[in-house]
Amino acid sequence: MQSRRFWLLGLACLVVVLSGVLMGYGFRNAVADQPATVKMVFSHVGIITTEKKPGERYVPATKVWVTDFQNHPYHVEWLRFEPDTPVKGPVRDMPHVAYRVESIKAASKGLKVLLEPFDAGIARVGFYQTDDGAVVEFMEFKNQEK
Amino acid sequence: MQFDHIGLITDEKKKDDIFVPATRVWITDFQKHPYRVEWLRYEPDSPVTGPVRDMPHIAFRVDDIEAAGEGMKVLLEPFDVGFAVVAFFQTDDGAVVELMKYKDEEG
Repeated sequence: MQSRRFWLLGLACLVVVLSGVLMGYGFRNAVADQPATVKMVFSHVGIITTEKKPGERYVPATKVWVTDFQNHPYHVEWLRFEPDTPVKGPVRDMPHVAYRVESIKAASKGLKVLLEPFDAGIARVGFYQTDDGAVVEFMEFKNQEK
Repeated sequence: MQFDHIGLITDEKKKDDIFVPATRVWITDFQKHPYRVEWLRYEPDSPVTGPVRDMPHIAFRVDDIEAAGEGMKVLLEPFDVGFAVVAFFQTDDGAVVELMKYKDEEG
């Protein structure tokens, strides 16, 4: 009688342990199948303008006048493109929202590339477009404290 | 002041936009957008005019709209949008800023 009770108890324990292992395995797989959660911190919005703005600086490579969003109380970067700028498409025509990320590559996964990552001085940045047409900039700051 | 969303003007129909009869604009839910974008598509006969109608805006959550908006030009006085009270302002350099006071701070 006693040995049978032990046997049943052992079987019950085995079932519990096995189901725990299986559930754990399934759970891990479910998590692995999801896209990695990317930590993003809002940096600024870029707004296209045709007006000269205070403090704007000229970027010869892209023929655009830009203001410093780090000096703007609401994190606005004004972009005034010269008529002969080589920049075309959504980056030229639409406002953008910019986020700091640890990895541009990870953050931009699945998005359409508008401008491959390039060195923007304070950070490496790349421009992307969402399925619904929004222009998103990802920034990898060289100094993460910035 | 905490970043909340950006509002972008569009003339394209966007997925799941809803119509706001009072201002005759179709808007999307920025809380469901991975990059916090709110699309705004105004009907030609919308009563909304000026910078709010024509320019993108950047929205921040604040504790006190009146205090945070001090010194800026008022574009739209505070009004109730259900989950929050919001108001629109313009900075000296022309940017349109929405300040939002959430009713539920967890919002």
